[in-house]
Amino acid sequence: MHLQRDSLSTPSAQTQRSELEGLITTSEDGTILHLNSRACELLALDDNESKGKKLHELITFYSSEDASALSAEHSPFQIALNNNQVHQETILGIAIEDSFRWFVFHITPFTEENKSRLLLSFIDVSKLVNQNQALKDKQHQLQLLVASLNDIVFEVSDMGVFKNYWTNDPSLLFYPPEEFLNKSLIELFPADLAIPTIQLIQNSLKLDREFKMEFQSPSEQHKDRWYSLQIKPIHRTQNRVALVVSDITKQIESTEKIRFNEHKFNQAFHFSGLGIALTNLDGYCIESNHTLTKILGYTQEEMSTIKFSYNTHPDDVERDIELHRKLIQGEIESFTIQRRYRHKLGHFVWCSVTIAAVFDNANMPLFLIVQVQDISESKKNIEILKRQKIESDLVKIDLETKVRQLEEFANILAHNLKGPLSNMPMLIDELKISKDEKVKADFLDLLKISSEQLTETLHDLGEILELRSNKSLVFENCYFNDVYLKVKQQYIEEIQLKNATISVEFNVKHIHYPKIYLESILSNLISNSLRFTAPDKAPHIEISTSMVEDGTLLTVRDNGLGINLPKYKSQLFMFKKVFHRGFESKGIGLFLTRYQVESLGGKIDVQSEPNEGSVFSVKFLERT
Amino acid sequence: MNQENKRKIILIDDNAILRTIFGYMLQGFSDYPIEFHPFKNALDALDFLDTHDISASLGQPILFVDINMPFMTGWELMDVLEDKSDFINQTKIFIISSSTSKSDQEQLENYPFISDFILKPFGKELLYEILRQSC
Repeated sequence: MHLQRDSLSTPSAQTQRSELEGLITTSEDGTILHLNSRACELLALDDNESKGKKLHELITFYSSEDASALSAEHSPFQIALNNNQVHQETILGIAIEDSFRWFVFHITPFTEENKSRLLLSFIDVSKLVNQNQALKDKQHQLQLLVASLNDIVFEVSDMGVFKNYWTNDPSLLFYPPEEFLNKSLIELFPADLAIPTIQLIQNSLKLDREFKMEFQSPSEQHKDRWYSLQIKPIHRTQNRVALVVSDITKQIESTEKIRFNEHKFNQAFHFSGLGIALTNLDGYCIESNHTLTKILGYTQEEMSTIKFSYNTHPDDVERDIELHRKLIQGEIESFTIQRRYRHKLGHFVWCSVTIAAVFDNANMPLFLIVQVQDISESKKNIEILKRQKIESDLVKIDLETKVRQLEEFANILAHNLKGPLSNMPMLIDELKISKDEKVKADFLDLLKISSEQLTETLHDLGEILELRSNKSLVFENCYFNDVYLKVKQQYIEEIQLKNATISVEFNVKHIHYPKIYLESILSNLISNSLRFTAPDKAPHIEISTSMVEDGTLLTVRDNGLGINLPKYKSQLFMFKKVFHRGFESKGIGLFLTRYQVESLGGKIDVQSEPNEGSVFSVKFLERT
Repeated sequence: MNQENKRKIILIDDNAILRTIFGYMLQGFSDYPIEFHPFKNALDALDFLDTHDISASLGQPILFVDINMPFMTGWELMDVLEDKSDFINQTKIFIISSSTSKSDQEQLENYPFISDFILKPFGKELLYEILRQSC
């Protein structure tokens, strides 16, 4: 071909007939002088129209390097003319419609009639170029692929000899390439790794299938690294395989971790002292543990067919709706409430329930973890403790009252008995030695008065002691209004005399109480209010009852003298204490009242200021 | 003028009989003239002390005070007197009581200006002895 072309001076019949080669001769400035039909065909030119026209004006050629359009000056044609050199195998493209057509050009400058000419001969190599391009692309893709992998790929012979390798990161290789290429696995690795690998390679080749194994790093330094080895037969070269080595340490570790966590969760789930259930969002049990069965009586199979909330005590159903919503929406991580569940046998069990939600990666709730603790025992214990505390509080109050009463009796003994008693020996001594009959008579009178006083005090004390042994007291339903009307009758004279008014408001109509006590209490309080009246005001007494925290409260309010409480409160309810000078008073009334109230567990209190009146309040502890 | 020469004896006790016996006892004392002022409560006594000068050329005035009284106890009266240093310096103060309780004995230590504690009942010999000693 080359010879033929070289020998051409003008297009010969031979070349014009050529089926494959396009031939064109041009003048120095590119004007087409001759062209054969193949050239017309290949370049899509019209034979008649093209002659005499400049080639570069008819066709734009493209570089095969980067598919860029070439200008007339930079075209290989011009360069060949300029250098007067033959250019062989120059590949140029032309654009036909959307695709390139590629040609290999032989450009031969020659001289004819002292004029420079160019002979261009070319054949269509589009197919080759395109194939080449596809290969290049594939190679590029392969490179990208290798670069994107963290694996190392080796080509290995059937005897385990390394022939080639591909890796993105050469530092991943066990050895520098020159140390392992063309060496056998046996030479490079310990036998316990090399021998099984070679066996797998041979099996893989024999059976034409893939094998896989995992191994720990043979190097002491990297003992904790794990690798996976894939052996793939490379089909066309019967005795070659590809070894793909991947670092799977991380997977191994995370698998281990997952396995461990799963194990942990399983252990925790099944052997927990808490009843645990996994439920779907509708509350159906997916899985439950044995403890839950123990608490609620349902087997795990039974649990899975009923809605968890179905067994909630009707009173407790509403309690967690809002919390449940917040949980599902991820506003809270978990919540704990106390509620009652119906046991399979029908009774209710008090439980402390903690519910947490599990979300997927997209933050959608997947299921709920429900932890149930049977707290009925501790509920019961708390109730018992509470009751015991109330009981012991009552005993304590009772004991404190008794201790105080004992102290008071000691005081009464010292002051109210010893005092008058001590007068008597003094009187008797005087009587013994006195010679004055008048004095003697006076002293005998005094002795009589002393003995009378003593008797009276003893009588009062007896009354109080009577109160202490209240076993014979009869509790009955006492209507405040009835008792009030009866007591008022006793004081009708005093009320009229002092022009007193009494208003009543019994919000609590009646109590269960010893009637004689209630009469005595009300009588003493009314008597007090009527006695210690302010001289400048008409006495007014308000009596009312009301329900308070743990009992009935009776209050008697007056507008009388009042009491200087900071000074006298400690003595107010004491035996024979009087606080108002100029009134006839034994000072036993409030003491008695207090005794009656306290002996049945109640309390009496007073609020008052001098000249502002007093409010006495009695809190009854009702015994039902 | 006559009163100036009598020693002032003040008794504060709510028991009328004791006040009477005490008065009889004082009548039998003849060493020196005495002016006796009995009070049935401490408030009345304080009213009196506020308005009367009880100092005399003849011996220091003496206060006999019961503990357990209405309105103001003997101890409460001591609290009032404690602040009147002039008064307690020139006055002898005795507590008279039938109380043998520990708390009353302990209270005594709080008032060093009290001369003594006299337990009821007491005879006139004891009273006379006090009157003579504390001249």
